[in-house]
Amino acid sequence: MLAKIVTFSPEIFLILALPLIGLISRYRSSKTAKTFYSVSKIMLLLSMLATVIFYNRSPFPMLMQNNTYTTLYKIFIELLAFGTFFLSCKWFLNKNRSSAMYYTLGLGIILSLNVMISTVHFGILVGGYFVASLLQYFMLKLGAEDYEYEEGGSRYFAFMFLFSGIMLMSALWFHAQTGSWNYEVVAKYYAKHAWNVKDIMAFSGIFLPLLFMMGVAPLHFCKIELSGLSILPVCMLNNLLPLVGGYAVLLCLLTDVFTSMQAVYLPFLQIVAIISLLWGAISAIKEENLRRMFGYCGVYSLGFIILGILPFSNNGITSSFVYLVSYLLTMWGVYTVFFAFKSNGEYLSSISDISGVFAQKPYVSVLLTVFIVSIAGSPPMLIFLGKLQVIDNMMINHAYGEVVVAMIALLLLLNAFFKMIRTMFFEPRSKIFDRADRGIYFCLFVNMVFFLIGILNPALFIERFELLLEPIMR
Amino acid sequence: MLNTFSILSLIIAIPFLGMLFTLFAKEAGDNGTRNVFSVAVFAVIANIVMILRIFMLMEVYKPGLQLVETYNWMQNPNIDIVFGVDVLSLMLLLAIHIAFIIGFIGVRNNLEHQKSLMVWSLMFLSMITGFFVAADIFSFYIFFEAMLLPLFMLLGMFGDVKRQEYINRFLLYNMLGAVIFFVATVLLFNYQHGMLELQQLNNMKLNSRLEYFIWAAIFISLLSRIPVWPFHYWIASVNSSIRNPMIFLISMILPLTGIYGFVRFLPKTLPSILGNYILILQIIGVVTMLFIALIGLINKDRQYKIFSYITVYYIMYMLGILTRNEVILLNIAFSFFSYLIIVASMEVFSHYIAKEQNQQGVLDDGLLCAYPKLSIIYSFMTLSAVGLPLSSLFLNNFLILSDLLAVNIKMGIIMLLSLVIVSSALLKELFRLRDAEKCALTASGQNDISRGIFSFMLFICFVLLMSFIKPLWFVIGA
Repeated sequence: MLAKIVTFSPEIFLILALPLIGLISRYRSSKTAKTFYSVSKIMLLLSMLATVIFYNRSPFPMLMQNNTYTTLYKIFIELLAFGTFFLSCKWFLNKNRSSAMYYTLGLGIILSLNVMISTVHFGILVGGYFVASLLQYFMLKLGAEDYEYEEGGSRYFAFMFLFSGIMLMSALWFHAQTGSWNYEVVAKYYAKHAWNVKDIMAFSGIFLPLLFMMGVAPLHFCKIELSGLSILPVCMLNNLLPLVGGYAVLLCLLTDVFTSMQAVYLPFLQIVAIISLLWGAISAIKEENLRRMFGYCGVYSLGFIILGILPFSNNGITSSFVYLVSYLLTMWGVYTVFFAFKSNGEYLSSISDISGVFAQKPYVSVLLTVFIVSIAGSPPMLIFLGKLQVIDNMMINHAYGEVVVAMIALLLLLNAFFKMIRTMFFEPRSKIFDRADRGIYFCLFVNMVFFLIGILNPALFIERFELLLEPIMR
Repeated sequence: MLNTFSILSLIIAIPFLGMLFTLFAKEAGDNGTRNVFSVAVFAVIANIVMILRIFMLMEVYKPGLQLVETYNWMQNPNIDIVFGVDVLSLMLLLAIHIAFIIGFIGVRNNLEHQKSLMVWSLMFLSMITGFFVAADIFSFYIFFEAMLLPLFMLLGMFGDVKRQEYINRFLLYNMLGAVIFFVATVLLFNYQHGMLELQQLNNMKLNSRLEYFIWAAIFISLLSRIPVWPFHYWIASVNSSIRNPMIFLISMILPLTGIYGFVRFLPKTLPSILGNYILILQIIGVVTMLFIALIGLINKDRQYKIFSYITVYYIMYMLGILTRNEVILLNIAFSFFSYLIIVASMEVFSHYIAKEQNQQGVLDDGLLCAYPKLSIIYSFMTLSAVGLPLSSLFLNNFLILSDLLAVNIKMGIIMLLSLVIVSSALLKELFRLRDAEKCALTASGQNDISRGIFSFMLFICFVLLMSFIKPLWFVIGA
């Protein structure tokens, strides 16, 4: 029993953090955002440590199984959360607002995503998905004031509820067919039995909610809409963490559980990827809101990531993961820059707000340009590595049509990026920008270090990723 | 890393480090601007010294790439970054670096965004250096695309009111070219099942469908950089609008990357499939040449005359490269060396003349009479440009032209005619500037170029003269 508890410690640390924050919020007299950040930071670090130590131990093997694959994603989520919490602390201090709820919900989301990644049980997957989505909804409500926001939030809630329901029904269907909730049993059952239309619908019921969670087109609407309306810490957390969690679960299900169904979902994934590429690129061109514009860039990048996985060869999985990691690291940098774009204490969100920012903040502007050029996949920036691997994989699979679409989408997206660069560098300054916190520069420095290591010696990362992704490799 | 001492990587790194130093240098006040300028000049001079050292290390007349450096960049896909140089790439690099120093002279008193100008210029220099030492298709592509960002920034920051228009054109043509080149690169990489060095392209065997696509992609992407119809549009609009000599210079170096791409990509024996492409290119090339030369003759703008001269010569070099004659290639390398230096000098001093004219509010007819030192340098450069025996342009262009006439007499004649027209446009401009009868109308000439710049330019004239006597005079034992 003790052994099980100890093995379960990554989750226990996260759970413990929740009442701890509640108690501090209730009883401690001097409490600031820094206090809650410190608690979250310590618990996150302990959880990360425990995740690494028990990387291949599972407290309840029938419900959750840990291996290098799950550990990689969990650590990745926690590292991103760590960085996000640090920057968010600056935001809450600046705004002089209580951050207890933000950190509580943030840790709850991390916990649910971790459970979703580790689980091998459809029931727990549905539960984890529902809790993660619900917590995301509550988080979106933080700082929500205007009518537009309320409307967007309600829409998200409705869709979140709908997709959770669909997922639950699908899980029940698989249970009715196989008599088990376990991934392995379901996989074995469908390896022996032919698929029918109802099975395909049930499969879609698992598949679509995950795509919704990741924000893949055409299911991206809520995510993009709320990106522009939510406060910066929420926007950052909701755009980065669920993407990793959703991707990890999706990839695991497609490669390990629904392997026999490739003929059905491959064309579907191709279509979804192409829609994401084009939709993301075209929508980004006309977008005037900074966060929404980068949200569309995310949709475009997801198109690349999904194209990379197909058709589930080892090369494809690695290339897709490299793209994902490069994208997340770059986006973390982009959001960090957003924390530096502040005028009269207000965080700027419109592209026109940052016109001529280069004149006052040259280093931050140059770094944002580096990130933008990286998202555009221009060499030798970080995402170029991902783009190169994905395109190479597509060429190996003779997917020339997809390559052409990806390149057209890239050319379209470049317009959006160059519009932004023009605004930052070539237009006259419209605002006096506030001095950025030193911590933001520190984050940007750390980001650039990773960036440079990734560019100069990509093999250092890629080889290790391949080893860690081994459990789902063939 | 296979090599312990990587001199080719070093010449890419030096301007890049210079860029970083410049980026973090303080710009406030006159001293700060001077400081930024000095760091940039120092970085370029340091690289010139390194390039001269490379000349000493290599056997200049040995065919193929030398001092090859290989770095394993990625395992999956297995990509090696390979650097190597031959006499052509090194001559071009040396000329570009000298042109940069001359360009810096033109902007030494610039006070607006001096730091940005130096930072992006050095970044461009680093990228273009990488491009000329690239010896595999991936590093070639990486530097081919990476040099666009600094130029884009320079055009945007220093452009005039019409910059929006030409920036869009610049992006459209160049990004399209870069994307097509990327697809061709990955396709070639896959077809060859691994790493592809540029030298191996000669032995490459492709199936006919793929060959059509690959060559079309490579031609389009390289041509997107060269001022040949219909790709000339962006370069023409940029060059007729930009009034900063350094940026004009950088945007004029960009077509060189397209020309150089043809040198590296075209196999020694041209595949039959390329026959059609080359014929079309030759026709388009000579027609563009003639038109641009005529426009240059008619146009009153001195900068446009220089642009038309540059364009005509670029197309001539391109057509020379398409002959795939080794001797011609060597002549082009020697000719390019003088050509780039002459063009840089002409642009910088033409800008100086325009500035003086504006400041003093006089006509520029006979203006040079009042500026004796400037007059000597400008006249020398113009006379060298038109092909008098003052630089390596004279003999080497003679050889290139004679070979082109032998290949196709009609094409050669049109080309010769175009050269005569652009030369006469430049000479006419020089005579106008030196018109003794109108000399009295101009200013006193008290702002003639300083003694230091004059001495430096005399040294450059000496370098050009020596290149006429012996192109590789600076290499001991060559």
